[in-house]
Amino acid sequence: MATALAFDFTNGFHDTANVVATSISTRAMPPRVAVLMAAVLNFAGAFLSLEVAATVGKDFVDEGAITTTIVFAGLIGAIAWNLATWYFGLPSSSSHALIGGVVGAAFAAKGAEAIQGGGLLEKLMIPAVVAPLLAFTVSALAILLAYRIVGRLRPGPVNRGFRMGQVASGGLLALSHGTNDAQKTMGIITLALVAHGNIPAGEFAVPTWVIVSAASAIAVGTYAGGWRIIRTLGSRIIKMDPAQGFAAQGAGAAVILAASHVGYPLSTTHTISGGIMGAGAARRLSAVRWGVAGNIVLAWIFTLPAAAGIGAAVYGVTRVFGTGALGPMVVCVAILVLTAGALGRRVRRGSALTGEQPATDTA
Amino acid sequence: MSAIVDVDTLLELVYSGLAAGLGLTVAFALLIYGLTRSGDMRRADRTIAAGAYAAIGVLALLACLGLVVVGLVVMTSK
Repeated sequence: MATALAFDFTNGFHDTANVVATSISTRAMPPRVAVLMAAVLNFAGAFLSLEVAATVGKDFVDEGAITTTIVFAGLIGAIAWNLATWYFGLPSSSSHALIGGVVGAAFAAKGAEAIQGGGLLEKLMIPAVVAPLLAFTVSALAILLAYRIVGRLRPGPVNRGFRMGQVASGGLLALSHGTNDAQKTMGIITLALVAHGNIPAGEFAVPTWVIVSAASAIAVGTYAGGWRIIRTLGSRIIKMDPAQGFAAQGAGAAVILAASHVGYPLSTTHTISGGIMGAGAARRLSAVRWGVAGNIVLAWIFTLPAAAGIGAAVYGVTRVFGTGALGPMVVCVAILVLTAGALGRRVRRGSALTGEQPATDTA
Repeated sequence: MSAIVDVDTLLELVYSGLAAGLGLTVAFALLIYGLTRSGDMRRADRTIAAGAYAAIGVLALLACLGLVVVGLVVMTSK
């Protein structure tokens, strides 16, 4: 449970950027207000539906093959990939990391027969290609039409108007993010409860305490804010004006909600990143920093295999210590020691985010 | 491949994503256009033109609100 909620926290701060980056970049909202609004709406969104939770629990691995050790190893794989991509400021899909981790651990434990290849292709790989391309196209066409309509007006009212619109479209995006992503953790916790025997197999029902704890973890993570990824999405791909910010957010929200409407699971990260690139490319192809965009796409490609590899490796390590709780406890202690070591080094070097160096005496 | 990939659903996603995304941005741009031009006309004492532009703005506002409501319904009903 603790590992699942830790993943939910990383999911929140990793994906904050999807919701707030464009609003902060165009100064539609102050940064702290934007992340607070995103956190509150993520929390509220988690209570709206449970359909995604059921999908994560059933569509990628054989439900009967899942054990608590597999769930644990999968979550560690997802957390590790989320932290790695956050460190490099790359917006990657937390959902793909989670599914990859669980699939890798299940493969290591039970072999290929535990993996539902059809589900992976239909509900993960094809949407991973469709989401950014569709959002790119919608956003590009939308900004071209918007410029045609407001192009001859004074820039002052236009920018103020689109900034106000971004508050609303950002809110819609945060709410839809909450309905999608908090539920993935609910699905994983429920899967662990089924594996542990707390919930009868075949009766996939998410308990209320799971909904409340998952909603709280993603909201707190969102408020913590993944500033490195916010910077990448908000200003390193393109320099946005408020109209482009609105078009990217509006296209992202529209595509995500259209996908929900027709029952097609899309990654929020892929969708909003595609929207931002489309809004930039429509104005001028060279406005998009394609090197940054290429790195982001590479991170998307590696997300599933990398998280799966880590999940499989963690499963192997935990099994060295048997099938009980000792293996996961040893892995947790090792991770805490490694994290403390990394943080200690970082504190001695100074802040990684700002590049500030410890104060030195000057003559 | 076609047995795994539901082409009809995919096409429906493309149509509805395009319609909703373009509809939202165009409606919001028309809202800004209508309100800004209405203000300009009012300052120029062109009352009828100001009213016409305000009507465009109001219709666009209703379209935006309608799309937001549809989005909320989709979220709560899935």
